[in-house]
Amino acid sequence: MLLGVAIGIGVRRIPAVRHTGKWVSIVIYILLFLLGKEVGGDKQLLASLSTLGLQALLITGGAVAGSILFATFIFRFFFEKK
Amino acid sequence: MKGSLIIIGFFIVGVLVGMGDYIPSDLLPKDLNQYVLYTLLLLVGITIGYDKELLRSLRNTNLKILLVPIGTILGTLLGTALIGLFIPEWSITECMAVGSGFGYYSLSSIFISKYKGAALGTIALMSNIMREIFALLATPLLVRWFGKLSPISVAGATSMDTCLPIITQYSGRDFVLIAIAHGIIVDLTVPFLVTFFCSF
Repeated sequence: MLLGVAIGIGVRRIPAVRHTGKWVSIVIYILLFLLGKEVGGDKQLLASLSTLGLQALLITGGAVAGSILFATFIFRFFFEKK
Repeated sequence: MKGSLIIIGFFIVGVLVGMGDYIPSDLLPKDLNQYVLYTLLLLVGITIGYDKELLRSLRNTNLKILLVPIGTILGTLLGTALIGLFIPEWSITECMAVGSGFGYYSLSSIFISKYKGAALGTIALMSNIMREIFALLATPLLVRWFGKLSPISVAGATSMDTCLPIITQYSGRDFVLIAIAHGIIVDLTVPFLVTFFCSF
């Protein structure tokens, strides 16, 4: 990835590189398709999809609650009295 | 929102193809995922390096603004670590790796499925999509209850793209720059934090 950053800085003058963002999305689509294929091909994984969803929801809850807690403190102490 | 639908669409098509066994596994090279992943990393790097504005805006952010992404990262990691205590199937660091996606579901789920398998990868995909959807839906209430920074924090890496319009509307124009800087910084930490927590 660092190599990519270096290349990106180097090739700034070449306008064609502007479309790399699009290529990133396409590669991501391919990888997600492959991830889906792996899940679909695995009967055990497929059966536990609802459990995985519940666990995902729990983790999201923790992440969101923690973020809100810190954001509230930072807002109160550093941003409110502007 | 259209982006999320496309992402989920590809995943679901993949699931269906896997279930139907349409593509014989010998047809695809074994390390295909690996090489596609390397390509992705290279491309992400190129976009970061290529974007002059992005690097400049990073340099111009003042210290107070930096507090917001730091708070998001610490809060998320703390929250997911606590949840990790209560999920027996997954370790604390595995839950923290999922949290380190910060709503950047595409990249984080791919990393995590590579290092920890498709099960945790699927959790990462769902969890981070949920985070984005929650930020989109709850922003008005978050602003009222927890202040104008909370939707930015909850949106995580998506505070600079998908969630930016709604944050602008409810937190106000003064917070647009903070939301963008926050999104860029959190976004940059995703690949590093995810691989770091996967290494345990």
